[in-house]
Amino acid sequence: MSQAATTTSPDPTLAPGHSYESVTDRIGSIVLQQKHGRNWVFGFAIAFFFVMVLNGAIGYLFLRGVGIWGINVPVAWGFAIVNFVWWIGIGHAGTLISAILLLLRQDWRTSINRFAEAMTLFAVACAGMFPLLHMGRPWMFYWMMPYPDTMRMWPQWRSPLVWDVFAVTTYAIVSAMFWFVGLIPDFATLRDRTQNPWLQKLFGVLSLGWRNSARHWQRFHWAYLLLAGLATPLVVSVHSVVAMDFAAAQVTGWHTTIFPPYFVAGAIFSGFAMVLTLAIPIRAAYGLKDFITMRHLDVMAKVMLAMGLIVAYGYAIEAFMAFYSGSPTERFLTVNRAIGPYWMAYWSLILCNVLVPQLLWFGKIRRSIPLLFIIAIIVNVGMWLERFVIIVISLHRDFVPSKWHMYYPTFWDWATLAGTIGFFLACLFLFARFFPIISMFEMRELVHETAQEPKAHP
Amino acid sequence: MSHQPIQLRILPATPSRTAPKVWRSLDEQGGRDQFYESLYREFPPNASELTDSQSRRDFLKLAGASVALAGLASCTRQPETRLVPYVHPPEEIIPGKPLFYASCAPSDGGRGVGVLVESHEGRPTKIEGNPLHPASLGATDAQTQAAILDLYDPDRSQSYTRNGAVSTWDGFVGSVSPVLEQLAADGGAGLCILTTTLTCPTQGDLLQKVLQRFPKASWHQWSAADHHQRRAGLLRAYDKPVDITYDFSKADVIVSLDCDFLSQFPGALTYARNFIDRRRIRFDQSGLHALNGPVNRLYVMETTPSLAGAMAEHHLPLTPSQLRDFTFTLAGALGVPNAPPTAALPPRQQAMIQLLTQRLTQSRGKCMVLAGETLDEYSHALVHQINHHLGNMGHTVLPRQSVEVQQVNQVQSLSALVAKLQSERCQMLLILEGNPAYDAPGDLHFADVLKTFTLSRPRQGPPPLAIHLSLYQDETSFLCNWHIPAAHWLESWGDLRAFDGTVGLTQPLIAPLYDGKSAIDLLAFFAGIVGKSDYEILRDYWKEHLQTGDFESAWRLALQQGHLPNSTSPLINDLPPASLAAPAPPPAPAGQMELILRPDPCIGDGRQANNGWLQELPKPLTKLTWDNAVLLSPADAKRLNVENGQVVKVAANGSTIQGPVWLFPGHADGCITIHLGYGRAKSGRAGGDFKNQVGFNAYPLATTSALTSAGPATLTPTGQHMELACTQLHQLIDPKHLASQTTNGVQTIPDRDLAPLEEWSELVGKALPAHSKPLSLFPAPEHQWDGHAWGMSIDTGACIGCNACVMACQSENNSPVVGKEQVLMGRQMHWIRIDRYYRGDPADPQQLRTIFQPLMCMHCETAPCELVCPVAATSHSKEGLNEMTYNRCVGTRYCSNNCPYKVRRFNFFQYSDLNTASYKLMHNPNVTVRARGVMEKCTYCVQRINEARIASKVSDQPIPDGAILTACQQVCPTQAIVFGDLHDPPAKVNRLKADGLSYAMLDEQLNTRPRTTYLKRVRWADAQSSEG
Repeated sequence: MSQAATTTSPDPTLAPGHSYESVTDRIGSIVLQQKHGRNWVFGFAIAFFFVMVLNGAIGYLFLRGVGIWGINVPVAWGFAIVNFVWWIGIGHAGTLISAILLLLRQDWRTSINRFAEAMTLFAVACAGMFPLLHMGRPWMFYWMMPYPDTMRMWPQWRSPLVWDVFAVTTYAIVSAMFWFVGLIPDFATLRDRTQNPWLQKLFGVLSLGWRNSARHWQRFHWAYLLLAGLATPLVVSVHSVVAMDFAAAQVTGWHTTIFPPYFVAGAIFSGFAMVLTLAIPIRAAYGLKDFITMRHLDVMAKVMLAMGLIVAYGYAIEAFMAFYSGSPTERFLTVNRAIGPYWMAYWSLILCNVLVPQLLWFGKIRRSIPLLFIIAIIVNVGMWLERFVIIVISLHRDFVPSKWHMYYPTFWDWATLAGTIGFFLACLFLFARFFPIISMFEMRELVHETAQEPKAHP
Repeated sequence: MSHQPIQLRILPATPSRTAPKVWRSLDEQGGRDQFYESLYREFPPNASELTDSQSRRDFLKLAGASVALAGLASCTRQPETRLVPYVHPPEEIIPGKPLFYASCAPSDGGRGVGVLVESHEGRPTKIEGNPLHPASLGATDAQTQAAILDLYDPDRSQSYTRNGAVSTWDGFVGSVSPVLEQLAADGGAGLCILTTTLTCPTQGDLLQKVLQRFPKASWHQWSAADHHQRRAGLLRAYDKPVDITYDFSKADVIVSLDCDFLSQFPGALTYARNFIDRRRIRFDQSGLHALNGPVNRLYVMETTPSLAGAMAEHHLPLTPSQLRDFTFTLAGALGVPNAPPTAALPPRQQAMIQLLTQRLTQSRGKCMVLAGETLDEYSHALVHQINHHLGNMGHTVLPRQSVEVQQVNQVQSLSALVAKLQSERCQMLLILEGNPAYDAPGDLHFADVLKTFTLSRPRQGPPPLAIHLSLYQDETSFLCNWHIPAAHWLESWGDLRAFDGTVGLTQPLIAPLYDGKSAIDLLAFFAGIVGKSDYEILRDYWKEHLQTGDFESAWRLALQQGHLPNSTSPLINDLPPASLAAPAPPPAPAGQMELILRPDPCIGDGRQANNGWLQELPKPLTKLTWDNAVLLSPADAKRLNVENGQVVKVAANGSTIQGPVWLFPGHADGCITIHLGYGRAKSGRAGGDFKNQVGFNAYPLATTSALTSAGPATLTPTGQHMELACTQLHQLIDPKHLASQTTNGVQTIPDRDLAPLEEWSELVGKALPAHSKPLSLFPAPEHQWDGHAWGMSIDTGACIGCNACVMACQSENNSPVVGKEQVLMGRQMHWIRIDRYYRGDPADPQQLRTIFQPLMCMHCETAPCELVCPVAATSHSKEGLNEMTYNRCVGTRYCSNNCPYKVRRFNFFQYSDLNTASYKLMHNPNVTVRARGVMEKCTYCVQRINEARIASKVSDQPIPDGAILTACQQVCPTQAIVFGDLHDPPAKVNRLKADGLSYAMLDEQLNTRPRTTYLKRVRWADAQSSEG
């Protein structure tokens, strides 16, 4: 089948020649038959090392306080919030792929939705850590939730941080449900195929008594569709609320009505970049080039390009409005972004997020796997820089110049960032090893569909 | 520490003393430096040391060991004592209610400033001004307030030591008494006493008694940086002990020749009040009115920018030698007889001379000329002559009998002592406070001399003995045989004359924490007075000297009011004009940089170096903390190719030191300023020691002939760089600039209506601006709150930038000290800060304007911080306070981000010291000591509001206007801060807010509606008069 991916044109969503059996075998065998490859062990060890770095960073943080980071009093939010927004943004692509594209009946989503959803879940886990870690007294985190306490104190509902709590927890719950429900038929497949009695029991529990009956399938499809409907508004709402953290404040550079849509576009932009960053090595490592074909990569690159253009429009309109508004502080901020002390961050952001993605206009570049991989990584860095620019540059020189101060990240800032990346990768390594990384039942459906109508609409 | 600590030599390379006859090692005999280093070091090299937090493990190991040994120690049977509970509590003590006692603080070189000390259940917690005392008028400076931290400083000396071994008072008496008997036998020829500037009548009397017992003993005085030129000039001009005070309330024209009468000057608090009172104005429909007579005009010629220079209409930066010529020329232009001839001055100076001549002659008898420490004694005498000539004597310039017990030239006095110590004519040296081993001029090599003295073994007689009474085990204590821990002035009885001679009484607020002795105790012992406490000695002295019928009631009244009535030094009305001999030869030729040494604006001459509050207090103009620096003008820095933080070698008078450069806009070109008081070799955790020096010591550069204006110096840049913790860069407000640029260490910032400076000429005929109505989307609520509505008005025209409010806030509100590294990261915790901005061209320092703007929480009515707190930890009270609930705060810091004024402070770590026992006594019990992870900020001193509310409820009377004074308002020397109830129409704060000069910061842009508003500072053009 290795020759299948390269021969046919136009790119199919599934390499020809696959049957129900071969699809199930190919994907299921990753979980059931393959041994821990040397590469897997090596990769997981590195990721696990960074998980331990994260443990250390968090332990020291709880011991000493948030002062171990570089934050100060104009820049009271630093890496923690930059990372939070970045991770939340990354998660968005997963939900978009699984929910919105499902509703839109985009068949190319099938082979990437499973690990995109897993990526969402792990990214949300990484993101969710930061609002807790960045608190001065994290052991009081539950005060952000409404609960019946004796003082009858509720959260302060006007604060966007409270909206954030609800948005992010809802997102985490729906994403987890969606992911798990989608896994049920595959768990059943694994239960039926495994020889190991322990795994039979484990997958048996996880598959919730799935017997492949038509009634099951019918209910499953409805449930899945409903969950997709539920998740769809979240794609827009979560990052809009995160954007509101900034837009509702009156800090120059934050207080902008464009933020919610621009944040959502940015989130999808970075999410697709992350899906590409993960998909390219996974399809190579596990020989899944038949399922994640060039067509997938091409389509994702196109989505990335479109989102990149929206984000670029956001940057342009932000700068334009600063001058059009006549507000001296807005003008100052814009100039300060470009030529102030953090000018490097700003221009790197423009390079990464505006200039480099323009290469994706060219079909050859979209089909060049190494280039696509590099561009995806550059976009990930660019989107991280975007959050840095928004948060740090806006804060470090605000209304009263006497309190201007620079923000320099410390070792612990970097350790926490690296630690969450390690945690994210470690989760993915475990996921790739112990769960079907591509939805088997949906691939079987795809086999069925491609057999029926070979020219599926693009 | 992120920078390389700079190792400084505290001793000159070639000590000019004879080799000791008896020596401990070859190094000592040869005078090798390592010996002195090791002498100052607590441990020999390679000995294990607990240097820093890095060695926490070591510390824990040792702590474990001492805990183990503590068990053994507890085997000793403790002496039986009785504990008596408060069955019948003292009448006046109500738990929770503070008591205020009047006392008197030694401020600015030992002159008294009346204070009220707040005491909670017997613990002094805060120092405030005494409105009845003429040197305070209710205000205090930062240094006096910080004394409360000195009192509770855990690094204070806690034991008597004899040659380093712990001893007791009885041990001291037992060992020294026989020596004293021996000394008394031959008239005490071998006894030398060294005191600081003495203004205490009782101590003076005791000294006389000591001198009666030892007629041949000698008394010397030395206070570093205590206006030596001024004293010498007075002695030179009048040849008798005379002091001069000034009446700023009568002065229309004030010319200061490098004299900063607003800070670090005897009587500065009173002068600041009187000076600003003549500048109070009102701007209403009918125009601008001066409230207390015509507005005075201030002309300042200065070397180092000063607070007076920041207030001046005209200021002219000059080097010390230029200033000397300027003074001579001014005297000549005014027609002072015998004025020394000078060469023609450059046009700018000549123009200033013309302007000053005109102004001064126009207001004869209503002007004054002041001389500062960079002028030599001859110029000081000449300035007195000018005041005589202008008819100011007895009007604005008031000669008085000296307030000092004995006014002597202290440089000569100390030099004489050094000569005695070297000549073996001295057998016993008693040093009453002061730290001459650290702060004596470099060319005296006092530390060497003292060490040689204590180690020498004469052929006849007992070995020499040096005794040091001091609050700290400092450089001098280390070289003396006996160290006696001093009682803090808050622990002992005493009396002090103020700048005008008023006698203030010092009352102890607490028994000595470490069994310290006061100078009175020690002098009484030397005088042979046995069995009398310092209180009895003080009382007996005044019983004898107070001419009053009923002593008992007069004494009680004096103790209650803090000073003796009618004790002002008498004026000398018939003082003849000063007689002037020929001027001293001009200083060394120019061409190099001239060096100026001044006491530090925060820690003074170094005696308060171990005070964390003062170390972290941003210096008024440079905004540096925790360090001194080589200050020079941006133009000179460009010429020498040095930049902020670059370490340079400064060589002058045969000594060389190293320190970082700091660019100082407005500084005169051609000279450098270094602040004294830093680089202590033995101080404490805040002040540093030989290993971890804080700042660098500039005393070695001073000589007996050149103390403040210390002659030519050469600067050699080194490759080193040192990070300086500055809380605000030099920021120049420039409306033309959109982007921020930094050139020559000065950052140009856009004009955003921050601290506006209004031109007088523009205000004439300008209509009163209509105060805008608050913007709101919502209709006005039907029910209007009619209770209290607290608000504040700050007059930037009256703010002299002296930092007293910052210190008051820190003391009142238990604000922690965070240390240099945290300041470098932008995490200082002061709730109030004084922003300092410049206007004008930094290349032309004469045109540079300095403006101060105190900034604390504005208590916005539409507070942006309240909106974003997820847990409602910051909320609005009905009375308009923006309240912070520490217990509820989870520390998201969102409020700080959303605060446009950036006045919120966050506890990034556990900053408050919760473990040191003595600090527990110091804290204000009415203010929470904040824990890690919570936000904090100015509360408008809500604890004081509540106290007034309780009092008003108890008495069933409304809270009168002025009954609530916030801590910052209370200590402000110029009453620039006014707090009150906005719903009380006659309240002063409402009149100020209705003034045409009033503006709300950033309100127009953000609609925050701050409760704190500002009055603009008016810049008075010279040509116009301001009658109103």
